[in-house]
Amino acid sequence: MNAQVLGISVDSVPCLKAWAESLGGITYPLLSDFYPHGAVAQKYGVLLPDGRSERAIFVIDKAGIIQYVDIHDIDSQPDNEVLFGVLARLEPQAAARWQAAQPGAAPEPQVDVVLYCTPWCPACRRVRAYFQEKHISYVEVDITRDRAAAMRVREWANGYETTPTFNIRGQIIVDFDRAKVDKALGLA
Amino acid sequence: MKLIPGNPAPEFNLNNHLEQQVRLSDYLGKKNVVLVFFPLAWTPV
Repeated sequence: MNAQVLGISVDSVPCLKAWAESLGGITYPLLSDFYPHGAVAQKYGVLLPDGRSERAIFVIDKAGIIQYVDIHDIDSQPDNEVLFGVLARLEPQAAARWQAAQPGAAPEPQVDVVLYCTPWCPACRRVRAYFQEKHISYVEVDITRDRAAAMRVREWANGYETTPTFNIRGQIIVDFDRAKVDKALGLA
Repeated sequence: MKLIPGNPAPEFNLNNHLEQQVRLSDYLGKKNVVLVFFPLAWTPV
């Protein structure tokens, strides 16, 4: 992911390690913010009056600019999907490579027309009806179930999981742009 | 003061568990950084 996780303060190392691994095998140093106490937490505005820090995540891009801030309840887990999305937007290619290398990651179907969709997206329903009407055969990939596919879509769609997204003989079309789809299918 | 996206990240210089110094600026131009603040130990993760 071309990202460096830096843990600040003290928590059990195995927990932090397991969490970092769930984010893509990122190694991280564990930093001590004890002397002067909580100075860095204070700089970042996450030092609590009782001397603890909040449970907070900052994503900082290569230019040193904060891209994402998540300050969450002590009892709740950080949302890995959201965090992964932030990193994927900063490094779409690295994210796609990482996802593709995961065990069980499905390669892209080798057919003329691949439709990336979700079960609930209304535009996806319109596309299915349209393809049926035009007798277009296609393979549908549900990006809510296939994370590697979701990462491919993010790479094509500026970091967003836009559906429907099409791969028509290698040509990527993000969103249901009827004119572009017709042209790629040779219907125009 | 709360930091929000778009703000420059404040520089820091801390020791890691191996007593090596780690600066935020070490990663400038090289890697994105995910900075994770944890409360004191003994809290559930």
